[in-house]
Formats: sequence, C-alpha cells, structure tokens
Amino acid sequence: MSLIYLLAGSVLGVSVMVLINAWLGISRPARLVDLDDAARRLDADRVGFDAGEGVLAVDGAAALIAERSGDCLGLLVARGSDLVIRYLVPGSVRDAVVEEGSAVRLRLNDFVFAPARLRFSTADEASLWAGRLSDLQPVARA
Amino acid sequence: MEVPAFVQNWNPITLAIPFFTLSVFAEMVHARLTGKTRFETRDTAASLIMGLGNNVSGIIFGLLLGGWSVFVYDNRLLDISFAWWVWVIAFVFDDFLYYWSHRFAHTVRWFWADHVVHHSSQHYNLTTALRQPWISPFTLKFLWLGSAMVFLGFHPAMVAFVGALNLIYQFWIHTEAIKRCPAWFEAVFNTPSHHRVHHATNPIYLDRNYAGIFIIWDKMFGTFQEERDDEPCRYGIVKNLGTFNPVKICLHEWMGIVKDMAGAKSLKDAALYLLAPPGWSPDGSRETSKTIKAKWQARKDKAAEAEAEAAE
Repeated sequence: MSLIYLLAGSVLGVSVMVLINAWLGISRPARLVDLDDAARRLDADRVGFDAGEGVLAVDGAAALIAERSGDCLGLLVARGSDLVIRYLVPGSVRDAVVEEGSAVRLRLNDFVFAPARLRFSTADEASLWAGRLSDLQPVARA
Repeated sequence: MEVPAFVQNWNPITLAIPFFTLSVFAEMVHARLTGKTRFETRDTAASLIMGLGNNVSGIIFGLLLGGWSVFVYDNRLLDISFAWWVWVIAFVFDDFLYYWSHRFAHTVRWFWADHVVHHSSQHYNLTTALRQPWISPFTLKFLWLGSAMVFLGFHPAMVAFVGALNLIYQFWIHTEAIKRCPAWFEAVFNTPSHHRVHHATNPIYLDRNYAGIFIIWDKMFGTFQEERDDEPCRYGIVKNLGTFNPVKICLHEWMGIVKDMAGAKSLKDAALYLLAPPGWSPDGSRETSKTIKAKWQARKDKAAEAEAEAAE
C-alpha cells in the first residue's frame, strides 16, 4: 500500500513541478533570426555544411536550406525552446502537404520526429517547397 | 556478516528527494530572475516522467538484480568487512568502475541505447539529471561491471549505498547556474563546468569527461576536456530528438538497433551494429564521434594554415 502512496505522491510532485515551470513563464520558443542564422546553425551541427538556396518560415520557427552539392536538404524546426535539425535525403520524407494556402504539414520517416508545420509567406512558396520535399519521398516500387 | 544499521535503515536516494525537489524549484526561480538557465515545460515534463519511470523500473527489476547480487556474493572471492577504511575504498572503487561503465555507455551502441535517454534533452538543468532510462537491465551490464565489487567481496548493501551516494553527487552538477567552482575543487572533482562539456555535442567536447565524482579518472585516461569560454556548449545528442514523448525517448535507440540488425547483410555487420560505437555503419555513411571530431579538426587545421600563410 505504501508503494502506491509513494507512486501517487511522485506523480503529484512531478505534476506540481511541471505546473510551476509553466507558471513561471521560463520557456521561450526558439526562433531563427534569418537564413544566415539557419545556415550558421547547420554548419555548426554538421561541419562543412555548404548552404545553398533556402527559405525561412514566416514565424522563424523553421527553415529549409539545400546543400550546394545537392546531396541533402537541411531542415531546422523549432521544438519548444530549441531547434531540431534533420538532413533530408531521398526516402526521408513521408509526406509534405500544403494546408491553409501557405503552410506545409511535413511528416518524416523518422520515429522520433513529430510532424511539423512550416508556414511560408505565400501559397506559391509553400507549393514550391512542398514539391521539393515530396521529391524526397521513398520511390514507390513497381 | 552483520550489515550496519544505518545501511539497513537509510536509503540515501529517498532522503535526497526533498533536496532534489527544492533544488529544481530554486533553479527555476533562478532562471526566472536571471534568464541564465534554460527550461522548456515539455522538456521538464519529459525528464521528470523519465525519472519517475526509472524508479518504477527499479522496483520491477529490483528482485532480479537483488537476486543476482545475492548469488554473486555467495560466490565471492574475499570476505571484506564494513570497516571505515573499506567504505573509503568502496566509495573510490565504485567511482572508478562508474567511469569505465559510463565510458562504455558512450562507445558501445548496445549500452548507448540505454544511456542516450539521459543525454536526449537539449537543455541542461537539474531536471536533466533526473532524465534516466527505464530498461537498463537490458544492457546486461549488471552481470559483469555491475557485479565486480560484489564478486570481489564487498557486501551488496555497501555497494548499493556507495552507488547511491555517487548518483546523488551527480545531481547538482547538471546546471548552468554555477559557472566555475574553486580551482582546487575543479582539479579533483567533477563539477557543473566539467559535466556541461560531457553533455555537449560540439565536436571538441564529444566523448569527454565521463567521470562520476572524481574528474581525475578522465585526466588519467586521456578523456578530459576543459570547458572553453569561446566554445559555448550545445546540449543534446548528435541527432536530436524531435519529440517529448517519454516512450519514444526510452525506446528510440533500441528500435534503431533492431532495425539495423534486421537489415544487416552479414552476421558481422549485425554484431557491429550492436557493439561498435554509436553512428557506425558498414559503408561509413553515418557519423561517429570520431569522424565528427576528425572533420572538425581538419577544418580547424586548414583555417590555421590559411591564417599562417596570410600572415607570411
């Protein structure tokens, strides 16, 4: 019985700590300043990442930058107060769907990467990058 | 052999829980007042749930581990007493074994699958200390490294006690709130500064500072790296998770191993997917700490050469 009380107390303690974290307002969402900022982060993350053309989400919460060699597409997505980086190659993308005109819902073939929503400035831009991302879907076998 | 009463009656970790809780609150308030420490609510929740799950798993697997300890102790090499000086030796020896166990946890993917949980936060605060795995016995390290002291003849209760002290020590070093400790302390003990290096993914910091309590082991075995003011730590793992889901945090590397082994082209490749360093692949297409460090060093050398030429 005491074990159950201990467990219940622990769950309560964890909940209180999380609530206090939220209440104190100490979480600040990660945002990219500009494309140079995104390129710098990619270079720091993968030594020698040679940034080519790219796009920054309007809210600064994501960016896509192609490697100049064409080998991969660098993706940065804000997850809470940090950015998560992926290097997308053929087969990495499960689907990239344009939603609400200028947003793209991106899902990867990656167990730990929760779906992301990239907000672009125009519908054309969203459509263009959704197309480029869709090119990285696995090739269907005949 | 009679076990001292204080070992039977005190569980250091249970006693430390109020200290852990108050320290986390204090660090959150410090973050609010100074902005020097970073917290993310979902990350905090994930770390604390991982810590809670680790305790539950300790209860579930406790019988198995306890039974194994008794079996090993029954077949021990020596009879070692509870004299005060034995406690000192046990404390230091346990930390020495921790260093090697921890080093293997970073350099053998099988063990990394378990330990990666602790490194999977991109934050470095006291809740990160509590982010612990749920299925550690699956590494089977308890069969050998975890049993070495008991096999020698140290009583299991003594080994558990000094191990708990080691864990408690390591709690307070998971913070950005303390920049540097006095020089003499930094020279001998593991500190927040040394351990920040351990949690960082900057190439210069990868696979460094494995110490638990005494940083001297890293200095002795060539794995020490000082924190540099010109190289701020970037925390997490080489491929950071994009999720706060505790189940995925717990299982992701195990699943990666199973997937890689199932798709391996030979038995040797399958074995190396399990036993080689994290990031190993047969064609070298993935990156290990070693290859990342080599690339970084090559770029640094090239930049230094270019600078020297320009100066001439």
